[in-house]
Amino acid sequence: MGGSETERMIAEQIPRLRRYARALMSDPVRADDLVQDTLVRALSRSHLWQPGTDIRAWMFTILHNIHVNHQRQRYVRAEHQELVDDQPEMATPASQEHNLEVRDLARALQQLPDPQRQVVLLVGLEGMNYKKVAAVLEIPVGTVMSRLHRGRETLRRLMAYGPTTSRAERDPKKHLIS
Amino acid sequence: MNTRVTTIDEDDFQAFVDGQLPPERCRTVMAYLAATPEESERMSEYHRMGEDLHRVFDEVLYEPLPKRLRVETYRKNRSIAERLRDWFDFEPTTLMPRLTGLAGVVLASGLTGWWLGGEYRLAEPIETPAISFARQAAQAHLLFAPDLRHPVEFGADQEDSLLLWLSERLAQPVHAPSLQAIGFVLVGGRLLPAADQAAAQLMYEGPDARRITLYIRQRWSTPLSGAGEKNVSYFGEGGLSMVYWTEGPLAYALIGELDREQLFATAKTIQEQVETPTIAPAAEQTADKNAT
Repeated sequence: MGGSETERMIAEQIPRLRRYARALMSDPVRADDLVQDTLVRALSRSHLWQPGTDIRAWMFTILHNIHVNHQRQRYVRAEHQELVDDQPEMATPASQEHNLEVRDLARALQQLPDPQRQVVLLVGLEGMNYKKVAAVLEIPVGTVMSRLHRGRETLRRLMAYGPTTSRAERDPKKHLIS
Repeated sequence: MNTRVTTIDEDDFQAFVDGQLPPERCRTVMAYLAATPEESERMSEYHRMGEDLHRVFDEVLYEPLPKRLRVETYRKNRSIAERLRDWFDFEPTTLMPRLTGLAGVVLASGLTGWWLGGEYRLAEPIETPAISFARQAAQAHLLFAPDLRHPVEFGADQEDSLLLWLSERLAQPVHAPSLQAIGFVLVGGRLLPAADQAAAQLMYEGPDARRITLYIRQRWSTPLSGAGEKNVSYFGEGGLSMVYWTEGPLAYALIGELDREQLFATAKTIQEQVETPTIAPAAEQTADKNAT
């Protein structure tokens, strides 16, 4: 019953994939589309999954590849632009209140470039370690780190987590202590 | 030159937030942060950001999965229970094909605009009263038809008491149509809750132990006079089918593992017997009476 065991393991991952997709995309229906495509592909290729390896990473890799393909097909850049234009109030830091709304965080996420959003979510929501994120997204760990930093800084600014006085003025790159 | 110089870079900060720093490195960062409140504040903001992500999106983990995201949906041989569940598991993206089959009901309910407009994403799955009725009937079938030990509350040997009780609770005369002519005998029945009302389920068994159920409840709208009264709505998938219709003050749903023709024939036999409220004692004799 190896097949059905793999099936069960695949099924277990669906809620997490769904959470990730929901955060990744502004549209919940399209997010479910992405998860559905991932599920169908994972089931049809379940013989390719190596038992003993991380099935979550395997499925996130599939999801990521499908997502990339979708984006190539659609003009996501244009769409992203449209979204930003749609919500001009989000282009500036949100109100000083720290009290954030669901929508605010979801929207702020949408303002991140897709590659940064992926990293922020895989690390922040999925709790993946950097090496795994690098493997899933097929990028070097160094790239994971820089996207994570930039993504988090943008979110922090958009969500008015901290003082909005420019932190860009100082160089956060290197700090020396002795 | 005794002073050991340690460089902390941005990667260390990120890894610190994510708990991915080796212990001794972590201590170094903590020492630095203790002396640098501004950076320390930034770290706690990152941390809060992570918590907020979970607060906002974790609820997705607990949402029931729509049919299209369930592994069973893609299996070749699915059980009847799974198939039946699928019909009545309405979700926005699969609502349309099903509702197309129910166009009459939907039009009558005045719910046309949203899906005819091509925009059929809804925040909440919608249910017309008819669909809600059909779903309740299907759920009741799923629950009790496979039950070997207690499929019914009252057996056929107590038919009179059963029907009296059901009639009282539904506030309408309830009859158990005889289906012996087509090979099904009454097993019995039970009372069920249906939203704020009572519903009745009658169960019949065929020669091969195949069970069908007849679900009866007060109808969801006031009777229309004349046309359309006997319209039967049909669902079928795999080996299982359901028809439902309204008759007088009641709505009926018949569910079983029958093909379409058998099911319609059975429904017709039932309709012929329930259309005249005082027919019960002579039920068998009415089989050739003209419907409608």
